[in-house]
Amino acid sequence: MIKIAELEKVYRTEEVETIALNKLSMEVKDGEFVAVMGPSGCGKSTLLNILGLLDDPDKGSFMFNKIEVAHFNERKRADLRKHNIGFVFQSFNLIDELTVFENVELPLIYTGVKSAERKKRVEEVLDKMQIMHRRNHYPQQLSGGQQQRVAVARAVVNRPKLILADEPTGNLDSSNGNEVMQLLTELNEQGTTIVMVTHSEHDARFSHRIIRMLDGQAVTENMLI
Amino acid sequence: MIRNFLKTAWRNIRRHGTDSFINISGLCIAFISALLLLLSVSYEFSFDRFHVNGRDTYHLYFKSQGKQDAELNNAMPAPLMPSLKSTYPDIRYAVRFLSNGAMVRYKDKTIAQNLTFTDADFFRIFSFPIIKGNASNPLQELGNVVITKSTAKALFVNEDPVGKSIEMQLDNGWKPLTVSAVTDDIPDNSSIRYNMVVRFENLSYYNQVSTIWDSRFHDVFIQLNPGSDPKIFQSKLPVFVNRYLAENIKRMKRDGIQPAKDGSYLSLQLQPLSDIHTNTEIPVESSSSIKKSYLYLLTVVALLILFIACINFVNLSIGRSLTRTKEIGLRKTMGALKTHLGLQFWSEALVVCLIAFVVSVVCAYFLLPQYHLLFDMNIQRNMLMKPVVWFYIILGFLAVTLMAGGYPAWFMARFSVVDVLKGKISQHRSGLIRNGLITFQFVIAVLLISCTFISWQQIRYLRTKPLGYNMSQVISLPVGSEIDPNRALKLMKDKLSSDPSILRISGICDNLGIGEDGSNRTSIMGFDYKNREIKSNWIGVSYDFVKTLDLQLVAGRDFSPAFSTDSTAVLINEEMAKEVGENQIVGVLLPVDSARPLKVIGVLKNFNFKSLRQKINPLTLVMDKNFSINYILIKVKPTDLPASMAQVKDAWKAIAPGSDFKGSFLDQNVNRQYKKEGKMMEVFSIGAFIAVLLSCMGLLAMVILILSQRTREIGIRKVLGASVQSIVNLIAKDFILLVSMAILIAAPIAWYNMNKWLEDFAYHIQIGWWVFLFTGLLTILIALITISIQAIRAAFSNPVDSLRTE
Repeated sequence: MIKIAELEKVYRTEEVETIALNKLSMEVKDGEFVAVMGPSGCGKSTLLNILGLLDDPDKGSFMFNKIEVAHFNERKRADLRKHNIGFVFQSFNLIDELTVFENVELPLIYTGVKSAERKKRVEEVLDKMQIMHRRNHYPQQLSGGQQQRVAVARAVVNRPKLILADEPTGNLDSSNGNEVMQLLTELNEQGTTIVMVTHSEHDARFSHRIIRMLDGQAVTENMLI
Repeated sequence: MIRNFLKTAWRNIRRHGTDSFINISGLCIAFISALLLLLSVSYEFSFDRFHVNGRDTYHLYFKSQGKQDAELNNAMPAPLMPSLKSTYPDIRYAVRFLSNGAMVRYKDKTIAQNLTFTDADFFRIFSFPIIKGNASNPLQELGNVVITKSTAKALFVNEDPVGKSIEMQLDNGWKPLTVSAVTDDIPDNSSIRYNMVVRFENLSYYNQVSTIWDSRFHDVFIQLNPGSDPKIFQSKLPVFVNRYLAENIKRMKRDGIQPAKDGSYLSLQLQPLSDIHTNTEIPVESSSSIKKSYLYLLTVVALLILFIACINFVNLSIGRSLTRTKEIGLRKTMGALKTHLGLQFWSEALVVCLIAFVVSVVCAYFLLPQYHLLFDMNIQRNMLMKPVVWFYIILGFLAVTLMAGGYPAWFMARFSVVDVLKGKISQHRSGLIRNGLITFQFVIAVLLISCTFISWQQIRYLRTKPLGYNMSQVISLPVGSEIDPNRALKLMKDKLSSDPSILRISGICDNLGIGEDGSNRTSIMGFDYKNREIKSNWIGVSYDFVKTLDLQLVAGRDFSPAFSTDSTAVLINEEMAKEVGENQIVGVLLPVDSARPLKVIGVLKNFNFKSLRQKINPLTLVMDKNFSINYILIKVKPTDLPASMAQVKDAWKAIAPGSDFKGSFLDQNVNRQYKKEGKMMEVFSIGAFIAVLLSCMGLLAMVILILSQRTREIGIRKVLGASVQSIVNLIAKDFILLVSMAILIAAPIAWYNMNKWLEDFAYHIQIGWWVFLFTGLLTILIALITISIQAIRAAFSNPVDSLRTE
C-alpha cells in the first residue's frame, strides 16, 4: 500500500534548519498494523503528515497504492486523502461547534455522499463505537474516551483503506486507552491498514511491526508476529 | 499603576498590528469626517448670532392664505415700518432694508458696489462695528453714506474717507453723498451684507411708494425692547394688519380664500434673526440660506460615521478579548479586581483613540482647504483654534472613548476566573451583540448607498428632462448696472447680428434658472378679471423672445415691431389661458391696469420656466418699460458653442468694458438651480463611501479574528477533505446572512424617506425596486470580496501548521 524511498523533509526558519526526515525508506503492506516509535522530534509526526498527504516531501519517492504521489498538488492530494485515509489524533480534534453526529458526518459531506446514505452510515458507525446514545451531544459534554471514540468513528466512516493514528491514547487513561486500541485492532482485523505513532510500548504491542526512528531515520524494525 | 496600564496598552497595540491599524485608521477616517462635517454644521448655525441684541431682533414676513397653501412673503410696503414703530412702543428700533447694486465714483475712480437702502436705526440693531467716523448716528443725514473697510480701500486707497464726498449712480442720475463712517468688513457668517449703506429715502422712487400699501418690495427688521416676549407682541399685530391692510383682506374674502385656523387671512409674523440663514421658506433680500434639514442630514451622517467606527472598535476589542481570556484569568488569580481590569482595558482603548484623535486633528487641519473647495463649505482653519470648538471636540472625544472603550472593558472585566480557566468562554458569548452591531453598520451603509442612488437618479432626471425651450444653444448674459439695459440690448444686436454663428438676440427681465450673477427673481402679480383674482407670473421680454427660445405658439401671434400696439400686448401660456377661461382667448383684454388693459395676442405651449420643484404656473409675457431687460439672450449655432461664447464675450467687452462678463448657457443655469440637491447627493455618496469603507474594515478585522480562532477547525475540516470553496463558504455564510438582514431593514427606511424627499419636486422619478436589488447585490459583493480575501488565505493554509500548535 505504501512504499517510500529516500524521503527527505527539512524545516527552515530564519535561524535554524531542522531535518525532520533524512532519506527515510520504508514500506507498509495492505492490511498491516504498523507502530512508529521514537523520541520527541525524531520525525514521527512529519512522517505521518506526509503519509496522510497533508504535507509533501522535499525529496524522495512516495508510492501510494502504486501511484507516485510525492509531488501531487493540493487538490489531487485532498482528493486522494478524503477517499482513502482516516485520521485519529492525540487531542481528538473534534469541532466544538458541531454535535457528535455532525462531526462524524463531516467527511461524508466532503466526499459528496447523499444525505440519507450519510445518516445510515453515521448511525452504523456510531452504533459500532457504542456512542449512539451521545449522538446529539457536543464534544465538551463527553469524556476523553468517548471523544476519542467519536474521532475514531469519524476516521472510519468513509471506509478508508488506511488509518493514520497520532498517539491516539496520549490524552486518555489506561482503560479508555485500551478500549481505543481494541477498536483499532478490530478495524485492522477487518482489513484496514493502520499506521500509528506512539510513545507507549504497551500500545505498540497491539501492532504487527514496530519501526523505531531517530533523527529522521528508521533505525530498527521489530516484527511482532 | 497608570504607567503600568499605559505600558501594557502600548505593547498590546504593537503586538496586534493589524487590529490596531484597522482600529486607528478607521477611527481616523471617522474622526476626520465627523470633525469636518460637524464644523460645517456649527458654522452654518453660527450665522447672525454675533449681533449683541440679536435675541430681540426679528425679521418680518407676511403669511397670507392662498387657494391651497399659505404663502410666506418677506416683501413689505414702504409705509409699514414707520406706522408699526409709531403704533407699538414695544419696538425699540426698526429699519427697512433693500439691497441693490450701484456704481460709485470718487475723483476718477468708478467701481460697482453692493448698496443697501435702510433707515437710521440700522447700526443700532446690527452690531457692525464702526471703526472710523460718526459712531453714534452715522445715518443721521439723508446724504450720509457708510462704507466698509474694503470699499474704503478700493475707493480711497490710503486717504481717510470720513467726510469725503463721493458720487453714486442712482436711477435718477449721479448723486453726491458724504461718507460719515467706515465699518469693519462683514463677517462671513452674516446674512445681512453690504458694501455701502444709505438712507432709505434715497431710493429714486421713494416718493411714489412711501404711502402706498399695495407695493411690497423690501425687508423689515425690528428690535423689541430688551426682554420683550415676541409672542405677546405678535398677538397685538392683527389689529394693525386689519387696519392698514383691510383692502387686501377684503379681496381675499371675495375670491373665496379660506381663513387660517386662527381666523386670519393675512398676518404679520416675526422670524428670529438667528433663523434667517437656516429657513429657506421665508426669503430674505440678498442672503443665501441653507435648509435646516440639510444641516441635520449632515449631522446625522457625521454621527452615523462615528458610530460605525465605534462599532468596529467595540467588536474588535471584544473579539480580541476572547483570545486574552488566559491573561484575564491569570490577572484575576493574582488578585486583580474588576475595576483594575476595567481600567486597564479602558486605558488601552484610550491610547488607541488618542493616537487616532491626534492624527485626525492634524489631518483635518491640512484637509480643510481641500474640503472647503470640494464641498463649498465656508469653514476656515481658524475655527479649529477656537476654545469653544476645542471644548466640544474634547467632549465628543471622551464620549467616543467611553462608548467604544467602556463597553468592551466592562465586558472583559466581568469574565469569571473559573470559566476562564476552564476554557468555557468562547466566541458564542459575544455573538449576539457582535452580529447586531455588524448588521447595524450595514444598515447604515445600505441606507446611504440607496439614498445616493435615488438622489443621483432624481438629479439626473432634473438636469435632463426637456423643459420645453432651447437650453443648450442660448446664452444668457446679465447686463449689470454699467449701461442702460435697453441700450445694451440694441448695441449687442448691432454688433452681433451680422455674425453667422449668432442666430437670434432677445432680452428677458428675470433670468431663466440661476445665472453666473447668482440672482433669481420671481414676479407674481394678481389682478381682478370678471370679479375674481387671477395670479400670474410676469416676465418682461423683448422682441424675438419666442424664436430665441424655440417656444411654440399654439394660438395667435408673437410680439412684432409691425404692430405699434404691442406695448400693451401680452403672450400667455396654456396654464394662464386655462385660468382666464375664455373660449376665444386671443384678443381678450386683461384689466391689469384699468386705464391701460393688456391684450392677449398669443398663447404659448407650457414650458418649465421655473425649476422642476414647481408645477407650471400661469405665465404672462409683457413688453413693458417697467420690466427692464436685465438679461440679454443670445441664441447661437450649435456647431461650436465655446467659440460662440467667446464671440459674445468679445462683443460684450467692447460695449461694457467696466463690467464683468457673466454670460452662461441656459442649461448651465438650469443645472445651477439644483446645486443644493447636488450637494446633498455628494454628502450621501461620500457618507456612503466612508460607511462602506469603515464597515468593511470592521468586517475584515472580524474575519481575521474569527479565522484566528477557527484555524484549528479549518485545519480539521481540511484534513477531512474540505475544499477551499467550502471553507470560504463556511466563513462567508454567517456574514452574508447579516448583510442580507441589513439590506432588508434598510430598504424600507430608505424608500420611505427618499419618497418624502422626492415629494418636494413637482416632477420626480419613481423609486424602482431594482435600486434596492442593485444596492443589495453591490453591498453583498463588497462584503464577500472583503471576507474572501482573508477566508481564501485561511483556506489555502496548510492544515499541518494549524494542527501542529496543539
